[in-house]
Amino acid sequence: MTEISISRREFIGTSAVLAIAVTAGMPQANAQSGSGLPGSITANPRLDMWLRIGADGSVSVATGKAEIGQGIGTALAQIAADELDVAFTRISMVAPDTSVSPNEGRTVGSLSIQQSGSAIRIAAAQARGILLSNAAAQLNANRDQLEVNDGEISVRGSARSLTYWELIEDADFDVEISGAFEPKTADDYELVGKAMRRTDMPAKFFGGSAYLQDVRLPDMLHARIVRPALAPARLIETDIESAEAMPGVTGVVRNGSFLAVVAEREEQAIAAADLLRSNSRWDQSRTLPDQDDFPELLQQLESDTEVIFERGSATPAGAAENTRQFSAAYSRPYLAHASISPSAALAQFDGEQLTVWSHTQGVFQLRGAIATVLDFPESQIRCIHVPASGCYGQNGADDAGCDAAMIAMAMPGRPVRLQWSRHDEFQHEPYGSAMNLSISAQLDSTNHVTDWRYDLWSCTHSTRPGGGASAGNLLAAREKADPMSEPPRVNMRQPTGGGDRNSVALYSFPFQQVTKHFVTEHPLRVSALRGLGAYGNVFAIESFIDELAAAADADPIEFRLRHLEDSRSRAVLEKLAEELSPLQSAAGERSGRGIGFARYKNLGAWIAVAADVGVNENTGVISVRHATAVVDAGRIINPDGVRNQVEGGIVQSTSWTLKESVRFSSGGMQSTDWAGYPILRFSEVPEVDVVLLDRPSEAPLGAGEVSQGPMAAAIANAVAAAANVRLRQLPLTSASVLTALNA
Amino acid sequence: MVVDADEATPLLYVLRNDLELNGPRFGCGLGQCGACSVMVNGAVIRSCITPAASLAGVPVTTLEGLGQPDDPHPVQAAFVAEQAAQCGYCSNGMILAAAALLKRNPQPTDGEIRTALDAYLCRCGTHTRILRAVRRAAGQDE
Repeated sequence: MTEISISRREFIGTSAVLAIAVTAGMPQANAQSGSGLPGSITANPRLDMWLRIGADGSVSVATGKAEIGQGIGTALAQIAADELDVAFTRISMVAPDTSVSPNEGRTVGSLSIQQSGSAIRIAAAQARGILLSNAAAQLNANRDQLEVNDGEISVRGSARSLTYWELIEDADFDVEISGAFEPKTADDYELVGKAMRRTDMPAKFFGGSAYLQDVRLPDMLHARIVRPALAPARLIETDIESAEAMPGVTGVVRNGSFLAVVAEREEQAIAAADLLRSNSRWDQSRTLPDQDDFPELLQQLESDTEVIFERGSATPAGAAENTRQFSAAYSRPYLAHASISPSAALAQFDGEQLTVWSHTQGVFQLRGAIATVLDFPESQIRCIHVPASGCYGQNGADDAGCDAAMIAMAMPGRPVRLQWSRHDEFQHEPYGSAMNLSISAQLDSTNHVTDWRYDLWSCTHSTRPGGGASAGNLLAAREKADPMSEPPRVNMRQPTGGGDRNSVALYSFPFQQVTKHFVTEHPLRVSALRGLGAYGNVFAIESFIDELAAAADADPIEFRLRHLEDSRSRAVLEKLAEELSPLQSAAGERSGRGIGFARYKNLGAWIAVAADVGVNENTGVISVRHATAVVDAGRIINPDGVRNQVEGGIVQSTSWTLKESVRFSSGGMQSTDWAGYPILRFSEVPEVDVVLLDRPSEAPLGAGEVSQGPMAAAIANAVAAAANVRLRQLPLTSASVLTALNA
Repeated sequence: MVVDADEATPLLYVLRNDLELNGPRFGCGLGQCGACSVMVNGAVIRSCITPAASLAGVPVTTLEGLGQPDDPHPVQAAFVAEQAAQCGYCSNGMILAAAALLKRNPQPTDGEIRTALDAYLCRCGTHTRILRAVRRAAGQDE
């Protein structure tokens, strides 16, 4: 056990490197390390960390990737079952747990299949290979005479057989994975490529134990944090005794400005926390800017400017005749993750070991952060992932985890369940940054784009906490006595980028230049939200391409194809054109169709989407009636899983695009509950059709973040087609439609 | 079971913490999202803003009580068949609301389904699958 702890410490050191290297973009889908093995195997080489086979016929598969509603547990189990030749129902997936799981970085970037899937393939192939070798010896046969069926190894044409369950006792999985055994090719897959039903869904539909919120430990206490509207903030005065005197309260934890109440019953914790909040005063002198000053304000904040991409040669001034110059400015607001379950965590400190149950995207990184904040050895902290609701990036999960840890350390013994309120989640989660996007381009006399210049302004898209200085990203870290400082801003780099994700247009332009203005002032707390910069950048690029297409009097799909050489890019657009049915109209509205296209990160999955909208010219209301999407996600592990993610991304993007904007003013935050942050409702949801282009011989590509940016542009382009108004500031509200119509 | 709690205690906490039920979920505590829904007399109410004491002697049906895997309610079976979840956290309210709808209106139009579910929030964007599941439960297979 000690040895594993020490080596895990090394992995923590390298895992930070692994995480950064990954987000900086390994060129191949499988993130190969120098040895040719997937990066996750190099970081976690022992076979028995990935796979355990039981004499009872069970197969347990570990992953460092968390189930966050994207169905990864099911897809990885399909890969494992196929490679091992065992029945799907034998597989149980082990959720990330720092005491037993491989460290694969965080569950981010739509990389789970690429990173964990590729590792599990290799590990399972190795396990099968070892068992076959052992069986060949015992059955006195050659390996190529052996067949495997649900763990039963038989010699072809004879009755001799052995099972994995019989062989496992003498099989040594305490070995380094060598990659010596080839995984299967696409032709041999039975489960991969099938729409297996998700293994986690039944518990969710029948009230089984499915979520972090369902974990109940004996003698569990309930806790609530007490924070002001603007956090972190210095606590000036408080009345702890008033809270301690409340019914059921077992303690109040104060550490510097960090304040939390613990009680026997949940409603008692809520009541005491409410009282304590009203009896406390914090320094709230930091003022928010006025939202009305956006989008212009973003460009007035301090920023570091850098040309991050340049390719080709610009047309010399005056050199070309009959060129037309175009420019436009776009923007997106701050967006909330707005997870449907406010963040929560459980923690228990027994005097030596601290255990934290969290829905964090990275148990190893959270453990490191907690160790730093509490100045407590990582080797004595165990962090276990349990799913909560969708997080869509960094919501309050890590903060809640550290909050719970801080409370448990102050009150050793009984486990403590900390639940953030709805107000806590809206006020304190780190939002997706506002962005401004400016484009100028030239059309030559043949109506081809020649020069393309792109400027983007954005705050960072990652303030994720980990061990060391980045633990200072946590609220509790900056509230506690002897507080940590806010870490330096992380400027994520190409090719995957942060605010500049998908800022490089995939089109072939003779000259393209992208300039990033990395805003270093943070009026609001920000971090990663699904897609990062891709939502804003693809919205802008695909809107502008459409404006150019209109100026060229060209069909929007044909105009894009005019500038695309890559065959897989062309394929999704061409297929979309085939799949589209005639536009339907509804009474009382003008109808229009718009297109959006992107390849996520220019490295991931491809999508072309068409949105059909109706615009009511009297009310300005935009109704998204229908969306058709064509997706190329490489080799598809579970087609229903991909379809589910794409449908969901399209609907979520419709919500972001039509309705969402974190509301604030110099008077404070206004988006503190669902009334202050409306999201799309059933009456507003489009019908969605998704067509998948399965490419079994290609690497698999994650689909979780492919649709957001393109759908936003498709809607804006459809509105332009329907009502002849070009809206460039997100969200596309009825007010903005009416203003544009009346302009 | 006898629960010793303040009479203003919302039903949600009694169900989850005292009765250790998982169906009704904490989403907002403000009655805004529907994740906490339970069924009383065939109607769906929000347990996070309903005092437990106000339901003295009244039977309450939670998601668990609606059906179990070996004897599912048609709506639950339809949710499984349509794989109508991403994170699934909203599914408690969705399933109960759909069950209540189909009881009073066995053949709802698409518009009637959308209206019945309009006050239930889903953040993952699973709406299209939920609609398909409700249509399926109503026997309206496409």
